[in-house]
Amino acid sequence: MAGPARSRWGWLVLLLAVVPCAAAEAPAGWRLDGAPRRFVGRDLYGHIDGGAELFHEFGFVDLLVSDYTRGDTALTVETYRMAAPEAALGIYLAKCGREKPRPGLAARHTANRWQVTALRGDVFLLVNNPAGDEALLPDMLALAAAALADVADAAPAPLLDALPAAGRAPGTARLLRGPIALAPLFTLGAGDVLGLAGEIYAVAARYGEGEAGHLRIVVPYGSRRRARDAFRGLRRGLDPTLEVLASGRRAFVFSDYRGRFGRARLEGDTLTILADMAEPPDLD
Amino acid sequence: MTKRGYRSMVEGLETSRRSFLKLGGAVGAAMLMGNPAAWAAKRVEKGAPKPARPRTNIDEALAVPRGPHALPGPFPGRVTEVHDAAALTGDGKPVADAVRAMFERGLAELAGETPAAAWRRFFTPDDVVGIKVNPVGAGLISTRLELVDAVVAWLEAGGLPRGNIVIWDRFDYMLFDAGFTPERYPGIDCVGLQTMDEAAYMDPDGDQGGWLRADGTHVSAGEFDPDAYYWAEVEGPQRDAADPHKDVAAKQYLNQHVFNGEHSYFGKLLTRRLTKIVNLPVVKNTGNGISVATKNLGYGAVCNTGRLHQPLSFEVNTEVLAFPWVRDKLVLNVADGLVAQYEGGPMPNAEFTWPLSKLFVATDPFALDRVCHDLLVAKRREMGIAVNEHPIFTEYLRYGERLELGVADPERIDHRRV
Repeated sequence: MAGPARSRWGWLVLLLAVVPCAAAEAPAGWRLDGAPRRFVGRDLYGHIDGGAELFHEFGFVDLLVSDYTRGDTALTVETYRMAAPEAALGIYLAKCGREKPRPGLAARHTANRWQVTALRGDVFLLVNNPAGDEALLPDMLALAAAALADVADAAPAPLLDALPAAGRAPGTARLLRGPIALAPLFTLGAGDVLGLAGEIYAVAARYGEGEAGHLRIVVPYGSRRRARDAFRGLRRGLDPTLEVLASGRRAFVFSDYRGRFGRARLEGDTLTILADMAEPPDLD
Repeated sequence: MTKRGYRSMVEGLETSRRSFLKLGGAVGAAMLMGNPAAWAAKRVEKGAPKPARPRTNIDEALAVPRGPHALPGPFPGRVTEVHDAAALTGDGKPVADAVRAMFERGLAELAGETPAAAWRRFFTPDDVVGIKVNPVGAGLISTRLELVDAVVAWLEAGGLPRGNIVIWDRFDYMLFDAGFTPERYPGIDCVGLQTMDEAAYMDPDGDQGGWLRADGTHVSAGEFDPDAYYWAEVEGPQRDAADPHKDVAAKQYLNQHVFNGEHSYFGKLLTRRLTKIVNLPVVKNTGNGISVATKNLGYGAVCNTGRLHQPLSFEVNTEVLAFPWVRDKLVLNVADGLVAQYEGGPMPNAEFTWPLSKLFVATDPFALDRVCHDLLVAKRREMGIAVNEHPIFTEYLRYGERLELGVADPERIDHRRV
């Protein structure tokens, strides 16, 4: 798209980005308690000090925190609007744990008496129940449904398709867009050692079970040159606890601090890393 | 203490003895042949280079002679884990009598003597004892009032006047939100080292009178000791009239952290009033690490900590505890593991809490953290959560051991279960 049309669409996108989400309509018997609190951009640190980095890495737009009360009972809804459905999915996968959906909420979610964690389009949503009262779960689900009612159900790009389905451990798939999301999985090196630059999505999952299992990270860079540069950058910036055991032009095998093994291999525009393996893989 | 210091810690990442043993014997020539079978036998013994870190004044802390109660206390490396499945009701509420019995059992096992005798080991009736709680995540993962009640009862039974007990945390509003109020604890001071104006934080262009004085200082500035500080060569965000966004960020930072220079001052409560500290953290993760005994004080005893998270991270847990106002006063740690959290921390995340029904009792906060770290790693594995056991996430514990503040080597920890 070019010229004036692009300009108009650009303004529309900008307008949508700055219009805050509205608080959800309260279910019967509940009322909105006070004005919702909105956190934009870096302000998120004021709400989740120590946990905001992951949201920023994926692309955070704003957060609306709304309190609802019924008598002495309180529920809080946190509506995180992310930059794209993929960003919201990345946060959801990092936070949801083993999904246990309940009837009454059409969106992808997991729920227990303390919290509903949900995803729709570019919104990641939490409904918190500080008292942990099981009887409030239907109200929590109703609040989640109300908060998501006006959110467009845009599907994220099928990024996870880059991971082989066979052998993938349920509930372990993750999206990565930088070092914060990578950190819980494996330490390959300092900083953005995969060269994702906040632009490229990598995907990761565990395969197999326990000590016999391993971690697979797949990074489709979209261009051979970028993938090659990233491969070289990884080789240069490899964590000091990882020792390269064998190396070729497009792959290297390493051991880690636990005496387990891994391999980074470049194929076309894609870098595939296997890590935390019980036995060393072949170089090719 | 003057503004000096040496380059702090980080002697390289060391592969633990356990790892060496596991990796085992055959090394060398076979590896050079470069085949997978040979690689499998190779042991990893390479240390990491020292990354550049901000300098700190840890050398000044170490230069102060140790007091008679200095860490790791009389039981280095000993951790008592007490379990009682009846400590929580079916809906997860603590049972006061059970919690008190657990505390007394854990204390007796730790000290090898009655709780009354243990009291005499740690205190005199003239002491002013500060109970450091963790109020973050009130109701879900904060220190339970029932545990505080048990400790207060023990302190009073030993002969400590109620007026000599202080329940404290860094932030006053968090303390009160978690139920530590004068009404709940009559006769006991409930003290936050500082206040923070949440409304002003949310509206930086609105009324800032709740925290900002006309002279530009924070209303809580006087609560921190200008002569007692942890210095690190890194600053918080600075005010900038030419850049409104930066200026707002600095204003919010000052509201939350009181100061934004290179000094994190200790609260006067610690330096001038308290003579002993009992630390009551909770059991929870923070990323790949944990936030239990050392972090509860490392980031709770001083102000201006926001600047420290990224460059120094867990090192702060170790270095702040090396200063005499903590090192020589912290006599007991009781980690509240009645409900624990294995993922999503340090903020509360109900999805990842579980009823553990345990207390962990130790004089040595580093040994206690090591035990809790391993426990949370095991739980993460059990629940299918990603686990990264890179040594960097426990290096601060080994650093504490090198500073002779505690024991971090699992092989040397005396972990007792009762």
